[in-house]
Amino acid sequence: MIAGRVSVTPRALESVARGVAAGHLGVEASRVRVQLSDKQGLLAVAIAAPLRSAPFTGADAVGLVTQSEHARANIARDVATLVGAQVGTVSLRVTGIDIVETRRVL
Amino acid sequence: MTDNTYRRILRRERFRSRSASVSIALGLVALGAAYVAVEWVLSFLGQRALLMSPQAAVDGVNSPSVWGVTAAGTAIALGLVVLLLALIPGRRARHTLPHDRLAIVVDDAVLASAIGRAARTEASVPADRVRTTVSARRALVAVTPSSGIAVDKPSVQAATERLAADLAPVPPLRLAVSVLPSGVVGS
Repeated sequence: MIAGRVSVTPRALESVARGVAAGHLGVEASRVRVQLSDKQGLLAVAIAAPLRSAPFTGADAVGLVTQSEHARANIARDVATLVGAQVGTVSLRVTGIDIVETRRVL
Repeated sequence: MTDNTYRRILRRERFRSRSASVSIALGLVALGAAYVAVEWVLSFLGQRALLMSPQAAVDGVNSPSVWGVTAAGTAIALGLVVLLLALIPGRRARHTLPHDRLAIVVDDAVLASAIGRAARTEASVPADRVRTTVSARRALVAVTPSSGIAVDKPSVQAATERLAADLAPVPPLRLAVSVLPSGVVGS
């Protein structure tokens, strides 16, 4: 093994968390705000971001709360995998809803 | 012969010399004795006493005044200080390392940094996340983990103990590793 060590700055970790959150919430990374902190030795992720959603019509509309719960779980899993750290808490504050018209495919 | 010389030198380096306190104490005793002698000679020659004639001093002991009690108290305090200086080992913050051809004396700060380095390599945390304090017989290692990355306390304990066993400082060190409950973001 080569002497020395790899260190990862908090900024880099935040960028990773921001990217992961943006992917799961379906919004641009620039609109996602992420804060990392420590919670009893575990990583605590606090996210403030808008949520992307289809128009609120139709029978297959998924509840917003369910959707954000899924996003939270997926963010926790992916951040833990990418960073290699145990994630203790992920708190998500939804700052808005992006309603996106899905174009009908003919 | 060298063995003996080295042992003596190493001991001198590990403990504070008492020569300064001994010379001061002896100087005070000599001054006191000289004063008593002068008073005694003066009273023998029938001259006026400098402070107090021997007879007055004896009377003072038999029926103590406020001044007498104060003087006695001061003497007791001084005596206790001297006694402590004599009995306390006067250890310096140093350890010695065994070597067959050299006499090695190491400051505790140096030992602490060596132990801290072993700990942080094993725990893979940055240097400023390990605090090590070394006293005469104990070394305390406190590791602040990176958030979400658990520090394997037994392995850090083992790594530091291995280093301590390799160095074999005198007096020997007992290692105590602790991992702080809350960490810091980033690694």
